Amino acid sequence: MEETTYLTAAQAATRLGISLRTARRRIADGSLPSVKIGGAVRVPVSALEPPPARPATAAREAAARYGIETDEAYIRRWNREHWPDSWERLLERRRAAFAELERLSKLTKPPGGPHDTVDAMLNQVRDEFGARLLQYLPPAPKDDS
Amino acid sequence: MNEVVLDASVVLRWAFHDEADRDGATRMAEALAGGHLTASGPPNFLLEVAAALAVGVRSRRIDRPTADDVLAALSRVSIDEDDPHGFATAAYAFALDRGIRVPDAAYVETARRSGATLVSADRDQLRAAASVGITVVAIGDVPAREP
Repeated sequence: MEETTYLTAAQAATRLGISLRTARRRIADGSLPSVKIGGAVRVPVSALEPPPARPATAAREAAARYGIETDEAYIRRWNREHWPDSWERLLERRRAAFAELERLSKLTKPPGGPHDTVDAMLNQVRDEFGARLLQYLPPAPKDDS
Repeated sequence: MNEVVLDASVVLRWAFHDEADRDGATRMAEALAGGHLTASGPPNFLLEVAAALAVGVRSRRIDRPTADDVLAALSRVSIDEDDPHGFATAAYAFALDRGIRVPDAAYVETARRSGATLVSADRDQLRAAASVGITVVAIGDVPAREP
């Protein structure tokens, strides 16, 4: 049987081993290529498949074809545009984010006392938010058990 | 792979250097960066972190540009946020049943839905989660990396 050309977000999520929510977010931010067919968002199967050659080789071939200089920046851009977001790329982003957070954390001041710790900050937010939320939500469902 | 729900109290420790039990939060970050854990949170997760950062900016523990950069970096960590549908009502009911705050209950509800382990610095929240069979870890109990 011939393979489907386009996948739903759920099918693409399963193939990539990511959650549906993550797949939808990546479709929305463009890191997972998609098209609209009759109003429905679909992911081309080709977006999930690796290119026929190794990325660097394929990038250089494409660059040579168009007379573009084969520098590292071009290879990175080619990979980003032709390969779907991957678990490895997510981890790479995550590692960079944690390194940045570690750097930023050193710019913060020590707490001035127990009232100034992250737990105290969060408690203040939650007390306020929790109290406000209770004003707007409907009554809790009755427990019939 | 193990799935965890990280309370905002753990995530905020990534952004502030001089905090109790920061070693445990760092170990969580290392496990996430190494692909050994996946993490999720309730729909209000990033909003809570942003609100706590705003408190920190007002109290001058962190300056505004640094807090802006922290929020941007946290969005790149890619913590999956749960579907908001029906979520608030469930968290609300759990909060009233167990005597904890709604935002705390939102993390418990996330762990309940996914079967993940809840990691937090809030002992009351962990106690409530454990009472309904959720596996819990207090961030202070995560051993520091050996030097």
